[in-house]
Amino acid sequence: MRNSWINKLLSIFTYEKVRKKTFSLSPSRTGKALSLRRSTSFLRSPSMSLPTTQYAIQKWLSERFQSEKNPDFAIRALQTSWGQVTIAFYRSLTNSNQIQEFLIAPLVEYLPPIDRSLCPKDLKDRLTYCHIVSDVFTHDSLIRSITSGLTFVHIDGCDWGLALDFQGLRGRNVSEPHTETVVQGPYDGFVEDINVNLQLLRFRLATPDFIAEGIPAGKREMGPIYLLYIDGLTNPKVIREMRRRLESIDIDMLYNVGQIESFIEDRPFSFFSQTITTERPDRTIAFLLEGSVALILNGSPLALIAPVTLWSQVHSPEDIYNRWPISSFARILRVIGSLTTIFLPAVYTAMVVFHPEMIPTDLMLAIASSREHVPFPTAFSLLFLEVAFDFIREAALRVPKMIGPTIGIVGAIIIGQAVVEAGIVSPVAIIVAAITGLAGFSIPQYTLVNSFRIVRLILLFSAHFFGFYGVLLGLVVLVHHLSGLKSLGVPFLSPFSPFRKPTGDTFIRTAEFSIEKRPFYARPLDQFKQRPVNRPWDPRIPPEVLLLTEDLRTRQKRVNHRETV
Amino acid sequence: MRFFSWLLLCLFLISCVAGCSSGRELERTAFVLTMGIDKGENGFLNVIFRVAIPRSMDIRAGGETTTLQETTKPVTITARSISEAISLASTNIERKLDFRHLRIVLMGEELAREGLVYHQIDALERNPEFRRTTYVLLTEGPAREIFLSTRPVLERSVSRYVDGIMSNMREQGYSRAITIHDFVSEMETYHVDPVLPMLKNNPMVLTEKKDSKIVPMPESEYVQRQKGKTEPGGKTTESLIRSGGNPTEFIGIGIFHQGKLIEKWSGWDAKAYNLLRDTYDRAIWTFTDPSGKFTYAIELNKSREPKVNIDWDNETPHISITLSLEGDLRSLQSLQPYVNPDGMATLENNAASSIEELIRQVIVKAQEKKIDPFFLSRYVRMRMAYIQDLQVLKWREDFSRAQVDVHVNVKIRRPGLRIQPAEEYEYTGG
Amino acid sequence: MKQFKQEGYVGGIESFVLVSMYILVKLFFHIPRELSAEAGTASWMVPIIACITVIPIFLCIERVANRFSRASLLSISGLFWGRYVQWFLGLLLTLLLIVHSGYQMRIFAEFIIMTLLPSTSIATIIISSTVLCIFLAYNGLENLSRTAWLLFPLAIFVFLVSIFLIGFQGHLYYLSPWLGYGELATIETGIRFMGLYKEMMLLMLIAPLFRKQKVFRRVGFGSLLFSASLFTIVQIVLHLNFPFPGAKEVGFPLYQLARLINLQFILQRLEPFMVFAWSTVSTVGIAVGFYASALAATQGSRAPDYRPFLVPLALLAVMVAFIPESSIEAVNTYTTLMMLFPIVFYGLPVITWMWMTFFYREPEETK
Repeated sequence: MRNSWINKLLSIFTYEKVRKKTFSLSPSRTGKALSLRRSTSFLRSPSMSLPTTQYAIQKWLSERFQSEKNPDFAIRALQTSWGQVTIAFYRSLTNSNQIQEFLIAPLVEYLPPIDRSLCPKDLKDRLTYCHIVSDVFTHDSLIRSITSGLTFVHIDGCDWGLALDFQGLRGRNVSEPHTETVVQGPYDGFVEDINVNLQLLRFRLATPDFIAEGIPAGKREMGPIYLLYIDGLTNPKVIREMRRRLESIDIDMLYNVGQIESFIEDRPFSFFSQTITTERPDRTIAFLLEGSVALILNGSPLALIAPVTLWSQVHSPEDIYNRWPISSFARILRVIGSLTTIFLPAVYTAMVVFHPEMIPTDLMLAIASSREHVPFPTAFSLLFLEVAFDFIREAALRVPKMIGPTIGIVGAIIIGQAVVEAGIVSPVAIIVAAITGLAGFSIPQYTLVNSFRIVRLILLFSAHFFGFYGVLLGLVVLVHHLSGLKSLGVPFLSPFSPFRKPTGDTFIRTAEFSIEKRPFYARPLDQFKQRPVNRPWDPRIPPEVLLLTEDLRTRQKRVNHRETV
Repeated sequence: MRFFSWLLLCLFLISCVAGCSSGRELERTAFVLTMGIDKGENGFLNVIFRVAIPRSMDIRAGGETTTLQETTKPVTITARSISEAISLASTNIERKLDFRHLRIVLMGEELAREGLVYHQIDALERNPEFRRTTYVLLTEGPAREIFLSTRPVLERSVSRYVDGIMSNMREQGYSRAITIHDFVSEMETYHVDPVLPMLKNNPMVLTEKKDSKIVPMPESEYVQRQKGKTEPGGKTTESLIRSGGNPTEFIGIGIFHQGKLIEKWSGWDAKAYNLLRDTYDRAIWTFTDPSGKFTYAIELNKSREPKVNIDWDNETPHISITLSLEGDLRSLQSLQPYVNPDGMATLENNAASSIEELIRQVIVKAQEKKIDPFFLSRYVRMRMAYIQDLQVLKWREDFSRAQVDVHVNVKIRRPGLRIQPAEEYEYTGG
Repeated sequence: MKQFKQEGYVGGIESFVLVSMYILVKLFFHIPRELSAEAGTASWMVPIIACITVIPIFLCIERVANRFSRASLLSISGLFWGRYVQWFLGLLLTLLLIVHSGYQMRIFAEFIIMTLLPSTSIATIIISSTVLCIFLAYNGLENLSRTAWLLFPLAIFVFLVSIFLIGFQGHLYYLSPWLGYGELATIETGIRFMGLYKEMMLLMLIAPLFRKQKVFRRVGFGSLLFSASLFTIVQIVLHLNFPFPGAKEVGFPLYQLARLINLQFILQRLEPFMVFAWSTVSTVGIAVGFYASALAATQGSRAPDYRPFLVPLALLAVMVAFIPESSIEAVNTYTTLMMLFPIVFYGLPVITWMWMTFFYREPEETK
């Protein structure tokens, strides 16, 4: 008996296999999953069907669109040989020549079928010059099609109408992007017209799997939101989540993609944007191919991309176009730049005010001598410079382009000379502020630069009060906040936290052919973006590897292969 | 999120309301770069602070300052302790004294003779502003005198002056650079007597000081002064024969026993000490030529750790020390053809026996005083298992009885750029 | 997608770092000095001996967790002995953890004042670090462990660089005599200092958050060995530089060690970077302490969420932090607590395991 007790006690030192799950008392996982029912499709009330008579519909149209007050709303009643035709459209949105040529002319010459009543298909078959033709059965769709620039055609006696596309001007032409310029790479940027944008994307991504799913936006809507993804690559959970969030938006109007951002972000009150807005179609495509989804909104020359990570905000589109050493170097430089722009003023303040022992004696004395005639605390002079710098930035944005460069010169003179000579700040503080500002602009993502600016100020304050301890508190808070952020459910700092083996495209971008996998953070369905060995002709590749990847074939087989092709 | 912003707001308010920030702008701080402590009258201490004047370091301020006197100001205060001196200094210095850039602490000789150095160092250890990496030096005579007379040859920045002197100390071995940490560690360790590097004023150079500048004396006076001096520089504790330069010389070491200065050793002794204490790095040694006339010089560096073997024979330790040095020939005044295997061996053996002789003399000196500044007991404790054994060991007694064999291996690796004078040289003097 | 706040799972390496940091908080306190005072030159063996003695206790935790599919030990005790015992144990653990965190916070603040901010009031530091720790703990262990993991490489890099720089300045002979006050004395000290790893008990509370038992096992062993090796390295480096009679009188050992570095280029000193490692570990560690106490309260009372407990418990911790009159009293009490707390922290898992092995039979033997 005693022996078995001792054995049991000693059993602690033996290996025990992992048991099957038998018991769960976990306190932290209670509650049930609630499903969200709200979406805009439920909110739209069913609307009435169209009146059949010509007069009723004309009356309704002129009342609804207030044709007396709206000079550009046109209702035309046409008397043709086979019936009364009503055409309604906004003149400002349509091309009247096209209407005349491709709508009215065929209609006048049209002969309806005699043996049966007219159906929409008959007319559609006849109106061959126009490709976008849709049936209109309700008031609601009638309003939507006219406001979005379509031309409405109604035949007396029918309870349906047709909406045809004779749109006029489509806004400005495709031009270079304004914020994300590259040296080597494509020079086209998104414009306001959603169709042009879609065209920019489609001509790059020639696959039927590229899907632009229309989602209605707003009550007084500007246009549709297109949810872009690649079927079979993008994880359906991501698409579903994004769709769910978009459909929950019930709002008057969405002006810009940036507005959508705050509706769909996981943590809208964070300083950091958890999405990327870009005006570059190539960048959008790159993200789509990594398994993210994108949104484009009519009237907004930007695409919104989610999920993204912080690191992809530090990446520049140019990284892909340069050779790997250059882009790796640039990326490391940008990471150093981000750290500098966040921490330099705070660390400088902490070192000078709290820990002068860190600075070599002579440098410390030089800094001290430069501060001899400065009456303000270090933190204040840095704050002053920061504000001055922001003024210059704002001014350079607002002033007409002609005198823009002068602002820079004036600002440089003010900051560089006068401020020092007036004894408001020390020259070292100017160096610190200038490096901070410059380092900030090494980051390609504009929203990130602005986030860093605020973080920097907070850190500066805490450094002013607590020295290095304050900077450390700030750092811990910052890291904690960032690691808690999620972009569409994807951890913002992936792949560092939670830790996964990086794919070779995070800090350092290795050579193009060696990045075989997509980043896993968006959990793409198709993990590989290229075949395992893409340089099979390279003599340095051992033939065994080629055998494994089935890249080696006998001559006979190749001939057969050619024949089958 | 609201929670987060409340947190931030609270933090901000706390920091604003708390008000007592430990930060201090540079222009409101007076940095003390060096400090001297002397024993004053009636049990007081004379504490000298050398305060840096930042404005003098500003290049743009016009008028490049050139001397230490223009970049710093000495302030002497008599008080009962260092801390009291700091507090009293605030009554006349308009900025707060800050010791975080303190480089060097000078201890007056009298202080050391009365065993008060370790008592003063407690203040330096306790206050976080002082670091244990600060150098401590022992002055011959009062520290204040040195403070006032020192004139660096080149540097106007104290920190670089100190760093330069200390690295020279390591490179030439005429003394040993000691930090507070080293001193305190040796003070607190069993069976070792700590040392401090010495610095003293050269009386010859001091007489050349006029209006805070050193004006080299005329040749006739120099020749006059030179007479009667037979020993080479550094062999005894006497000052060097020189003119111009810094009146202050950093040479020799002072040995402490039970907290009191008991011995002052010369520069040569310091070299031997460094070899035994394993703090030797490299130095130029000059030896008498085997022919008896002329000298030759070798720059020797340590090639191997010293090997020390201690055998106990009835309470009497037999210590055998093997030192290995190697180096380059630097001068060969006799012009003899030594650069061949036999000649080199002669030089090496001669050098080795000279060094052995020097070391033996130093060890005898130490044994007479029953002290062990060389920390030879470290080889004893390396073979011990228990602290209790170390505590009961009476090493100083044992060491004074010990038989010490010193063996030095010298190896000349390179003859320099010249092999030897050509055979057919016309000059046959000598 | 769920419409309520829930705690995520914790990753392997993240929780390894987290538990290690929680254990290592005391390394940055006076503990190296205490070890040196107790074991002399052999103090570097103490953490190793303590680690060896703690391993069976971790095995107990691991066995119990394995048997019950990583349920929390408090839930298991509830299953064994009823909910009142569970409630009582939860309360006990909460109180102990809060006292522990309070003292840690006090010592942290004392050391901050001693080193970085000499004229800042202690209340400012304690309150600011409390606010920070509440913020860290509030977002849950998943986020906290990720924070720890992100800060870890930097902190460990700085720490190791400083330690090695100082280590090379030291002398090997200061480490002799090799066995300190004797083998038996050293082993006895090692067993007395089992409390070095008492924070292992965190694992028995957070066991449900692990995805796999294998990860749980690795985290436990990994953090034990890692922290033991760091304790040992620090002890060795301390003795290489400070001869043993002096080492036990060093005010703040690690900081003093870092202050011995004197770099001549770019930055003169490294100790503010050491402070970086130190305060990172301390803040994360204390936040884990808050979290653990709140979690113990939650599990003891079978509440669904720990967050409501957090702020009141943190306030209690602040009160505890203000109990000691002086820094030296705080430090001495902490050492005493470190010796006493393991009785509960180690006793609970051992007793649970023994109960499970000897008395507990599963209601239905399914396998």
